[in-house]
Parts: sequence; structure tokens; C-alpha cells
Amino acid sequence: MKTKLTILTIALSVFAASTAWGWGRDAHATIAYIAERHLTPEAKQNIEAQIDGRSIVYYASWMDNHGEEVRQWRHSVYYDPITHKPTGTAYTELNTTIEKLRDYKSLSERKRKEHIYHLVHAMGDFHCPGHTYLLSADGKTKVNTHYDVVGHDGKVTRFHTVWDLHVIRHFHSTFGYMDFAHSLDNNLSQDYIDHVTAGNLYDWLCETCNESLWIYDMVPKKPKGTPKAELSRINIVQLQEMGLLADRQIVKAGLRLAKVINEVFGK
Amino acid sequence: MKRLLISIIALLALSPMAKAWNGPLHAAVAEIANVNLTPEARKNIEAALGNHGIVYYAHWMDDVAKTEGYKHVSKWHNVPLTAKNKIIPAKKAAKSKNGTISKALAMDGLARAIAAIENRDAISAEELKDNIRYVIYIVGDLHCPSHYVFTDMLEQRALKYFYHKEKKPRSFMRFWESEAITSTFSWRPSEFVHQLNRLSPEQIARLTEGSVSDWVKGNAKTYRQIYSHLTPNQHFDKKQYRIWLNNFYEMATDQIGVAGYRLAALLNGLFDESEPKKSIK
Repeated sequence: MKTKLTILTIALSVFAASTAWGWGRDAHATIAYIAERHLTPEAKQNIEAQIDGRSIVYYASWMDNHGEEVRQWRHSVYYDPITHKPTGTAYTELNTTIEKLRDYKSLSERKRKEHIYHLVHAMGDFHCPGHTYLLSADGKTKVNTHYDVVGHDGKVTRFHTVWDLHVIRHFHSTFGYMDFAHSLDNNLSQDYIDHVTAGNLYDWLCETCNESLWIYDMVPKKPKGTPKAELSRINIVQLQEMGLLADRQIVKAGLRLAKVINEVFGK
Repeated sequence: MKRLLISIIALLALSPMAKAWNGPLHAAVAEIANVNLTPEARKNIEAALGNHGIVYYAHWMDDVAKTEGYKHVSKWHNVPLTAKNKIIPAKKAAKSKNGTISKALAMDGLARAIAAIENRDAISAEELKDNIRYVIYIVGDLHCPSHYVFTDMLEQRALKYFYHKEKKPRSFMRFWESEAITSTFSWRPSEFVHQLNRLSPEQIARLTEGSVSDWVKGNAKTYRQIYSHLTPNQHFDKKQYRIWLNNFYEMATDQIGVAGYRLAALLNGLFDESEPKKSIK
């Protein structure tokens, strides 16, 4: 019994250690794999040639794993509900990365790789509702997802963790990234793909922000120190609604990542 | 009696259990091998395995290790090596008073399995099936760093570390069973194929050239280096641990691919007459 408990403790701690990052690694891998499925042969060949012949999926969470070793980019977007515009440096940084990659042959190998890793990862994070934060009307208060809620399992958890982990793991726990991608990217019409990939990074960010606002109404922030009984509770129906939003965002992120890579590396 | 008991406990503490890549990682090795089998080899192997593919039996050897008639396979996980990365012959290793060395007979197990398959007319269908399943498993283990018993570095096999706020230390050898990879990638076996089955025929030829002993000696040079990344009872906070993991995951993950290609080369040589045979030495 003691041995079983020890194994369980180790297993749980490994699990906790391996899932404590961004939009979880499964979602990032799925986004990258959806993108890979929509790359032109030239773009696929060219981008893989820059990353040692590996798949972009291999590097989907590189930024999370190596964040301590390289300059940390900011992957969260602040949305101003008055002007309806995203703010902050995250957009500028990703846009700069894309612009630099357009001339990737002039970059050093290290920079080229880092920009690719950043692009593959950040395009995912930018579509994660948990990374879209609100600015208050006076522009001073930033409402993010770093506050406690009671999860569908009855445990106190960070709302951010709900997005990082629960919305994906609860409904797709047995899926690998291929299963997940095949189930989401299934017979998408060309019209839908054209619609999703129309516009530019700024448009996509605005859309993500607008479509994510309701999560703050559904699960409002309670003051620090609020007892568990008074915290916002997430029930299974709400988790399902958030899961559907997550699924839509994952598909969009994958298709849009493919569009950017095709533009940059498809020539 | 008490002294004997203490000795046994001490020996166990110094000789971490010979555990291999975990089940899904053995399956990943077999998946990669499977897509690199020639049609002829696959046909012959699957006929011998009762119409099962090699992935089905990827972890079989470990599953039966404690059952009657198969207890001998518990010694077929590890390889003992000298300070110069020379493989210590099975006869010599078996005589060692150190249990970690005397039980490190993977090369002997693999040699026996290959010899039995080469002379398959002289064995039963069930024996042939067993020996194929031994090969599938042992080649995977030969590409797991914790299965290399460097006799000049035995104490390093007992290295432990502390993660975050855990009070119980974790074993560095157990880390290689899966966490070296799964802490970074949560791929399914078929996804390992997507990630790692990307080499050109020329690259595969280079990777699979030479004998099994050549492969092991080459691996040993790389695997010996893992111990330089850990001091006894080292403590890691979460950030430090992530940085530490980054020393290993790429090498560990790539070994799954290397093992898969080599397993395919070995099986192709045994079950397809048009393919070159791989020797142990």
C-alpha cells in the first residue's frame, strides 16, 4: 500500500511538473500539427531545413521549455474593451518575428531557429483565451486569468490552469496530437479556411480578444482571500462551453500559422 | 541473519533495478522499426508472431520476466562496460561478485536470441516467437542510457536528486525509464514515427552500419556523459529542473529513433534473405 502511495505521489508530481506551462503542450503540438497539414510542400521543406529536418511540432513548446535560457517573449495580449484594440508588446514582438523571418536567410542560424520556435509557439498562445487579458475602463487595471476559482472537480484552482490544462485534458485526455488534430481538422471547407485565414495578425488578435471576453463574465474574479464557498464555480456545462471555444481557437491558430509559414517559407 | 538482510538491502540500494524504457517508449521503438521493415521481413515475422505485428509485443519481455520459465530474462536488460567502453563478455560478467555487473547480460541474451532465430529450423514455433520478442525488447534497452553499467562509475548508478519540495529523492536511473522524454513530449508511439522517422536512406545506412557491439560501443561514449550533469542529492526548484531536463530530452528522444532503425536492420537481416545480416560482434 505504501509502495502504491509512493508511486502515486511520484506520478502526480511528475504530472504536475510536466503540465505547469502555457496553453498546454498537447494543444501547442496539435496547433503545430494542424499547421503542418496545411503547409505547401515548398514551405514544409524550407522550414524543416532550418530546424535540422525536424517537424515544427517538435518545437511547439520549445519556448516554454527553454524560456529560462533565452529572452522571454510575452505571449499575453491586453484587450481594451473601450477602444476594442489589443495592446501590449506581445503583438509587436510576434509581428517583428514574422517580419524578420521574411528575410530568414540573412539571419544567423541561432536567430533563425529562435524566431521559428517563437512563431510556432506564440501563434498558439495568441489564440488561447486564457492569454487574452482585459484592461479596465481607465486602462490601469489588468484583469488576467491568474485568480482562484473552484474547478469542475470541486478543487480550488487558478482560472489560468483551467485554460492551460482542464479544457483540453478533461475532454481529450486520451488523445495524442495527431488524434486531436485529425478530429478537429476534419474535412474543413476551403471557404472556411479562406475565411479564417483572411486578414492579418492584428485582425486575428482582435477577433480572439472579442470572442474571449465572455469567459470573464462567466467566471468573474473574486477579491483576494475570498473563501472557497464564495469563489466562482465552474460546472461541467461551462467547462464544455470553454472546451468548444478552445477547440475553435486551436483550429484557427493552426490554419493561421500555416498561412504565415506558407507566406514566409513557401517562396 | 540480520547482517545478511542489511547486506541485501544495501546491495539493492546500490544497484537500482534494471528497468527499461517504459511500455509506450518500447512501443515507439517498435513502431519506428515496423515502418522500416522490408515487406518480406514483415511477412515472415508476423507469420511467426501469430499474425501480430512487432509493436504488439514491444514490451512483452518485461511483462513475462517474473513468470515461470522466463525468469532468466531479468538479466537481459543491461550491458557492462569497462572504463574504455569495452563490452565485458558475459562469461566474465556473470562471475562478478557485484550483482549489478553479474546480472548485466543483455548482450548474451540478444546473442542467444539471434542464434536461435538463425537456426529456426531447430526450434519450435513457440521458441521462435519468444526469441523474436526478446530481440524486439533488448534492442530497445540497448538504446537507453541507464542500461549501460560503466564498471568504473558504479556508484553513479545510485545517484539521486530532489525535485522541488519533495522530501523523497528520485532515482537518476529511473529518470531514464521515461521522464527524460515524457517530461518534454507526451507523444503516442505513432507520433514518435511522425517525429523521428525522417532519415534519408544514406543516413539510415550510416546509423545501422557495423555490428550490434559497434552500436553499443558508440552509444556508450554518449551515454557515459549523462552522469556529468548531476551531483549527489542535487536539489532542483521547478525552474532549475526544467533547465536540467533540457540537457537530456533531445538525446533521449533521438535514441528511440536510433533504436527503431537498428531493430529494423537486425530483423530485416534475419527475416529477409536479400538484406545484409547483422552480427553481434
